[in-house]
Amino acid sequence: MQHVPTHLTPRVVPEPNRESFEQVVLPHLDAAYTLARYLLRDEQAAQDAVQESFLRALRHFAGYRGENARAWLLTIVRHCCATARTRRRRELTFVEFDERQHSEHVQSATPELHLVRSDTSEAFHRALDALSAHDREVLILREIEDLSYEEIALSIGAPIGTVMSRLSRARKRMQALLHRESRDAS
Amino acid sequence: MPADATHLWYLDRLSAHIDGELDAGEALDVGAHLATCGTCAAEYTLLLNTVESMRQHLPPLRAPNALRERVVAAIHTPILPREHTFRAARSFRPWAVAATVVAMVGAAYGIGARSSVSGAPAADAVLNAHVRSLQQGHLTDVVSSDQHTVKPWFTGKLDFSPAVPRLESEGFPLVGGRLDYVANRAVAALVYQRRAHIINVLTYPSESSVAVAPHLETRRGFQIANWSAAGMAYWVVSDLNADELRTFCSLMREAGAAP
Repeated sequence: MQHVPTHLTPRVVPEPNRESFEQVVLPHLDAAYTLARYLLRDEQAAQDAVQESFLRALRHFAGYRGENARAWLLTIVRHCCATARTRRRRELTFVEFDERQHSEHVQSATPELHLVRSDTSEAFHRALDALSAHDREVLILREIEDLSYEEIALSIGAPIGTVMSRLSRARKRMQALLHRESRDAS
Repeated sequence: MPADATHLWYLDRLSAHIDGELDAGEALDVGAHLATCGTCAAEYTLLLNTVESMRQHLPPLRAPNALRERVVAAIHTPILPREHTFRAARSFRPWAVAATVVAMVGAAYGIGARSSVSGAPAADAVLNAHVRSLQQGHLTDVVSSDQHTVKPWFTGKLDFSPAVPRLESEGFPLVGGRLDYVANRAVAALVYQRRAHIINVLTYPSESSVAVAPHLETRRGFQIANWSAAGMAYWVVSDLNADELRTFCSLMREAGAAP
């Protein structure tokens, strides 16, 4: 469930039922965008990842067994975001200097979302950015996507016990970071 | 913070208690403990406040309308079998025959044959056209993501009509087109985009009807691909990574074969 093995895509792609896909999966577009936007922190990269996720989901729709569609889609989004991050890192490492491209990376490294946020919201985003990738992920899935522990476990491919302890740790870490922020501010 | 094992057991469960994710027995147990232990109750309130304020300051987002349209369009576009892409990628690989290919390219393309049999000056001319196009205001003469706007624009400006495939559902939106000159001949330049990467496609009738297999090379940090098919020569140049540019080329080739 947690792996979408694109390299195992069958040679003959069965024609998916596009109408049923649109009814079952498309309603979760906002959720998909939210996850990608928070994980990648870059508008263009997030939109690309969402589009790629829907195409991947469509290709694998035949294998979808009617379980929780949102958790199923978010699993795919999570994978696409991981791929996008790897690709971005690779480009940053190997591509020769190119002003347009590198200035884009500079922008995406600066969380431009912050510009439109209040100071308080900014503190929350900063704290979220300071978490480890694992902690940030469960926190986004729980607080922002409002998934149950079981759905999160499904999405990240980990036991519920791991979700529980990771979430508990992530929240305490957020609490400490926010506390430090407010103490530094005063 | 209390350090003994009993308190730690409860503290570890406060987060799940907030979410109502403890089993019934544990939930009762934690509830009873919170009613009698001031320290744990204070921790619980603190954590609850943190969770509530996170939910307030980290809101769920709405997908932009443009994205919604893109996704809906993508859903209704026929799926490309993946194998296709792989086969195209593989056909780029026989470097052993690269020299032969380059010689054929030289023979097949007027510009290559005119300047050198190696095809390298042609690649340089294409690369220069690409770099020139990136300078402000030189990228496109006609700006449109609609092939029905871009294709007719070339009519009357060129003695041929280039295929202008629509590839936005594959993540390569059309930006526009322009007239360009490469090695003394007018060519159609189609401009596509992948994220922040501009892709220039230069195309013109090839002087030979021999089809030439795709060839990809790196030059001054840019990827340059070229091939010819159905009497047309194609040069693709971009700073996009090689994998994605191969995908783009195989999409262009499929579209070119069936205009």
